[in-house]
Amino acid sequence: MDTQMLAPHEKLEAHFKDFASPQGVQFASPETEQAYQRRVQMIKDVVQLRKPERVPVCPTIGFYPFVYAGITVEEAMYDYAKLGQALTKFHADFVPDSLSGAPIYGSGKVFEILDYKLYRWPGHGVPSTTPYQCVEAEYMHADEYDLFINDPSGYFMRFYLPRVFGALGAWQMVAPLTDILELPFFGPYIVPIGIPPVQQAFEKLLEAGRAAMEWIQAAGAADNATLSTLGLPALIGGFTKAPFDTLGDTMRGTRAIMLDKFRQPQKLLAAMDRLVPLAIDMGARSAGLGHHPIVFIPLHKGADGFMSNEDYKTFYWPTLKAVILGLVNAGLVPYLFAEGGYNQRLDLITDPDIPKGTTIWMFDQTDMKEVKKRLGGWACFGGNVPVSLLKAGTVEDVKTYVKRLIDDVAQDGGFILSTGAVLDDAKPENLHALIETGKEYGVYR
Amino acid sequence: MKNTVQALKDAGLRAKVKIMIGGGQMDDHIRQYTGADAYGKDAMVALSLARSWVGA
Repeated sequence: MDTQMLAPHEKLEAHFKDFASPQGVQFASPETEQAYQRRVQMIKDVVQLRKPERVPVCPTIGFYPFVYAGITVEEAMYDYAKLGQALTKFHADFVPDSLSGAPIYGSGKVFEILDYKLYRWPGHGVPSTTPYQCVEAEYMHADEYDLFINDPSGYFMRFYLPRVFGALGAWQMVAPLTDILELPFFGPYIVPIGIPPVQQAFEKLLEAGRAAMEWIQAAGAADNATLSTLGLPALIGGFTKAPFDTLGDTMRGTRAIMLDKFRQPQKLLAAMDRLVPLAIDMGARSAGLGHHPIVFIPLHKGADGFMSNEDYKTFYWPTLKAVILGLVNAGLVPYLFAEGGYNQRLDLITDPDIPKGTTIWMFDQTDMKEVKKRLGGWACFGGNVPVSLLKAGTVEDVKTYVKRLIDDVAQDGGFILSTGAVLDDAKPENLHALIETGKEYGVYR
Repeated sequence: MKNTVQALKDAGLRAKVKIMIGGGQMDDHIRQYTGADAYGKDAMVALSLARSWVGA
């Protein structure tokens, strides 16, 4: 629906309404549809700091479904039928309260066609059973901040993407699209598009697009099957990033951005300001596509130990806060995934400018009693069940941990039971113990 | 990591070496599971461990 004229909380209500009645989904039965709607209601209740009927159990799932199904990561990235079968089996056997979407694993074929240099993936630098690995480098050079700030899209097309994708190297010869102004100058503009290497780059991009269509049809069908037969909503609708992480993860790299804080702080701050509206727009557009208001924001380089609190206040938080507020004003729910430890940041993130009951915060190695003290009554929170326990602990260890966590921090609602980190490996009985204990012990009476 | 520790055992070298594992998801559960001697969350912990092992 058109929500342009509504206030943020009215937009959010409208978005949750859309989320509860997905378009084009044929549920297997009225009971399944009801189960879907009850789960959406549980998510809405916890976001808005109410007690749901019970604690929603939404483990953050990575490559574990493939370990469980006995297929390799390589198969999951190249054989879409196997990808779909593994995920369908995983959801049917474990029945968590949320769906882990198939598209996040990507298509190895698409990456191959474009010669994606930012990652190693099975068959391309790591063994068939190993998840992809990021190759950090200064894909954006230290002296390129002004180029980026002046024209982010042009910078991506002419500098960043030609370095990250081998197949798009020739794009460095293409002029910015904003040069296309009037007839006499359009002729010279279009000439570089005719240069054979540029032609080849566009042909590769078309080929990648065709390969992506084949992949998304299979991946989308797998998710649709899980949603319609089990009634599991996804917990994630859209995706965006904190500006410091956008620059630090895949553009400048960790080492370089930490040096930039000292060597060229003003440029770094200006680049992050430039990224704020782009990050809000990306989150809002991606959530809009799926008619789902929750926007996932993984947090990386602001974790404990990465920088001082003073630097966090200067470099990390202001632009992340602006992205959070932009999404909240658009009637969306930022879902902050605080990887690593966030113990020293808890007082900084509980910012009174962020309205109550509009965000989700998931933690890993953060003291959850402290989280409850600081975030309780302000924001929905969850996470923290160690993936090491799911891999190397016993069923009893898991049950004890989950019960203690629920006793300690879940009593007032606003809580999601989840893993601390993304789950790539586990003993199946331990994951069952997490989910079953949460469902039984997490009922609010 | 578990396989690497096992390979050192199979080669008869385990008693002669010290093994530390590291990274954000390491804890005592994973140390025991892999059979390593110690774990650390980051490079600074690795440095402290190495110093304590060589008596520096």
